[in-house]
Amino acid sequence: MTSFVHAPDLQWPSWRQRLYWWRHDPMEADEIVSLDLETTSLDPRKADILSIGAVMIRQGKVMVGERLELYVEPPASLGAESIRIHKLRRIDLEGQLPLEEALRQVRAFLGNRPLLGYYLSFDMAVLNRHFRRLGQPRLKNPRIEVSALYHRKVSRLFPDVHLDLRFDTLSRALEVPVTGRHTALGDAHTVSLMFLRLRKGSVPYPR
Amino acid sequence: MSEHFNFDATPFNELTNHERELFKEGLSIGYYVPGETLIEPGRSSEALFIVLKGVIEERGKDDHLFAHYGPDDFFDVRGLLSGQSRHAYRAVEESIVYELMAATFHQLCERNPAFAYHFQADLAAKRQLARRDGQNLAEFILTRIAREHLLPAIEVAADLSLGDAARMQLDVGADALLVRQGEGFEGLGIVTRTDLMRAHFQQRLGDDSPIGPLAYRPVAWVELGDFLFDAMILMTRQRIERVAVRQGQQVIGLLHLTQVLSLFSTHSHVLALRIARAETLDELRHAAETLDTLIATLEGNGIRLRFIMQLVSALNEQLLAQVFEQCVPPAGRGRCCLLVMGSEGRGEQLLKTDQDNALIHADDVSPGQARSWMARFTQALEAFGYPVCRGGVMASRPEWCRSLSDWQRELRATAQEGRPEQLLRLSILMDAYPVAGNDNLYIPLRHTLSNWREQGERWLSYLAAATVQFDTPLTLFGGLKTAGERLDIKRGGIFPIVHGARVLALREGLTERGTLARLNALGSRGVLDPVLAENLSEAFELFMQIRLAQQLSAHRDGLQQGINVATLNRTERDLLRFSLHVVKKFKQTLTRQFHLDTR
Repeated sequence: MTSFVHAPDLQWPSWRQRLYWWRHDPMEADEIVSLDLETTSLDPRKADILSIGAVMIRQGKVMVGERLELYVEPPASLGAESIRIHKLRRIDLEGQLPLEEALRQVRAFLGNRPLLGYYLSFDMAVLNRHFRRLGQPRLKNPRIEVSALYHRKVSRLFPDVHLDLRFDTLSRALEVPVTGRHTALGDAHTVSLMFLRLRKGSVPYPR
Repeated sequence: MSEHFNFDATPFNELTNHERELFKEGLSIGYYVPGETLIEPGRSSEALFIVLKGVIEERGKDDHLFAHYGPDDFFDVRGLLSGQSRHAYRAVEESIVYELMAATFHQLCERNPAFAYHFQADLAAKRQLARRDGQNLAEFILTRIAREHLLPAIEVAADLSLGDAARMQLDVGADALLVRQGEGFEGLGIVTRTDLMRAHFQQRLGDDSPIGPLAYRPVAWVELGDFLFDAMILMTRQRIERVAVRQGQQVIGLLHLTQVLSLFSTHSHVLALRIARAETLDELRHAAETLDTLIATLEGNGIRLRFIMQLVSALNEQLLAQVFEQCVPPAGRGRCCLLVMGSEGRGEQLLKTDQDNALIHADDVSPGQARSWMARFTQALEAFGYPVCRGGVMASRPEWCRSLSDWQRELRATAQEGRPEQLLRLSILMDAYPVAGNDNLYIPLRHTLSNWREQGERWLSYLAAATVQFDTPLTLFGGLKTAGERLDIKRGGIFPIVHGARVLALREGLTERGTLARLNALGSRGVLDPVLAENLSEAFELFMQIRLAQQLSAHRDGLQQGINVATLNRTERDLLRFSLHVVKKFKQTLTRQFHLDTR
């Protein structure tokens, strides 16, 4: 078993944290958090957060018990278009957490652990936009992009293949059971299983 | 959030909602590549592993393979309970495995005894647990009192002497008398056997004192057609054992507590009585039709299968004996003996399969005469829903209807010549059991059979070879091997046990009837390892039970082979796999004992 890397001290200056992650592979971190958002739009400049799901991966195991599942008060931009995908209606979100409180909890849960996700840059962009609006620092955690990991692993063996990187294709190729598609926690869960498979398992056959 | 973990499977469905939350708190998911070790031997177990996908193998110290674990299987319970696992667990395929922290597991076991019991129970207890609860109680409660439940009511005058009354009771086999003291139902009193006894021994009343003063009034009664349940409540309330049953003002019989109780356990007692009382073939046919329902009820009530088999065999024998009596004239009955063979002969008959029977007749009965009786017998059975035997093992055929000396000559010839068809007939005859007619004709034949090996020992290995002709349906890795979805349990499990026990019994000259009794005897004689014999009995019972359950749920013909493994739950699959391993071991023992590998 490989030895795992501890996350750097939170109090370190950011240059030192970045140096640390340059020297150590985030994938080998002791604790990794798989993160997923459900938003009102796919445009990171306009998207509002509806729900946040996160699962802890500790020492190569998905900790089902250590999870974060937050729903946020419905933003004004919640429209019929996106409801069809995530199936969260305005009425479902009435009376849930205010955005500021939800973001505070997320930051506490994430700490400075490496983050894992599918098209994570979108989620990070949305999160950071909201942090900036609230005048808080952005998240500087190192990132692990599951689709990039997949691409790297597969294209090394099949360099010429055109890779389909859609979520469902990935889960099928990696033979990972999908639970709760298009819920924040469900997707975070599935992504963490994909990650475990990619980190340790054999190279998947592309589909 | 959707449920990630499947809480519907056996032990986990015991958990309450709150406990499920606790369970999830302590749950993690691991991913293992082939060859990776999950549990090292000798290390303390840190978690209960529940396979989500993939295959994990369990290996002992000398790299001996113990088991494979597939989706929904969990391990290593023994390690968790004893604190240290003895075997190594390794991934064979890439596997996704749930891991429940040991601390959480123990906490849940403490909170929920039913959950804990699943893990602590051994195999036998697990089988008990897997059995369903009684489901036919309703049938009892809703049964109405009918004439066939009743004992005859005997009415006597009040001035009858005690001695006469006692003798009358003994003659009729009645257990209580109704004493007429006045007009109508109100004028009746009841005198039971106990009352007579007390009068004689305690109060020292003489033989010729009248019965009148002893009678107890009023007699508790129910109406014909009332629910049995009413009668039972009445008996419980008044602390009595009999009630009179009336139709209008007329008493038509007595209902006894034992009668009610036998109905409570099933309708077996009544069925036996109906068979015994039947006077025409038609009445018998109705009784025969009830038999299948009875089996289904018993099975549903979770009665142990060996008792069901005993009961059903006993009823079947009564039935056959009755049919025999209807078909053979009284003069012939003493001069021939009807044998049943196959599963019926071994006392393992459950659902009606086909007719397997033979006849021994005395030397002074002409073969043509005997065959004409048996032709009627076969027809009658066919009308009852026992199909004609496809192998022609029926008393109406000349080769199965012989005189005693002819049978013995046949056995001697078998010992000398050992032709395949003779050996086949011998192994069928091994299971023979007399059910009707004159038993004295059977005893010499039995004697010849138990001494058969003195002449015929060299043929035994030919007989035993049949045991290993079908492969045990296990894969290379010890999992269940199925053809499509079906697993042929008769060829793969039941036949080897039955035939192996039969051949060994022939070699040892055992006279025990039935596979279970034979295995038991073989174990105590040291022919088989006692543990193996015990396990074989359990395995045999399990196979029969699984087969019976599937036959009952499908259609009731008992001829369709193969069980659908997909419909079994995890516990049953586990047990089945274990039992098939036992069969495999038995085959190896037989191969060694009869030198089958050198043939």
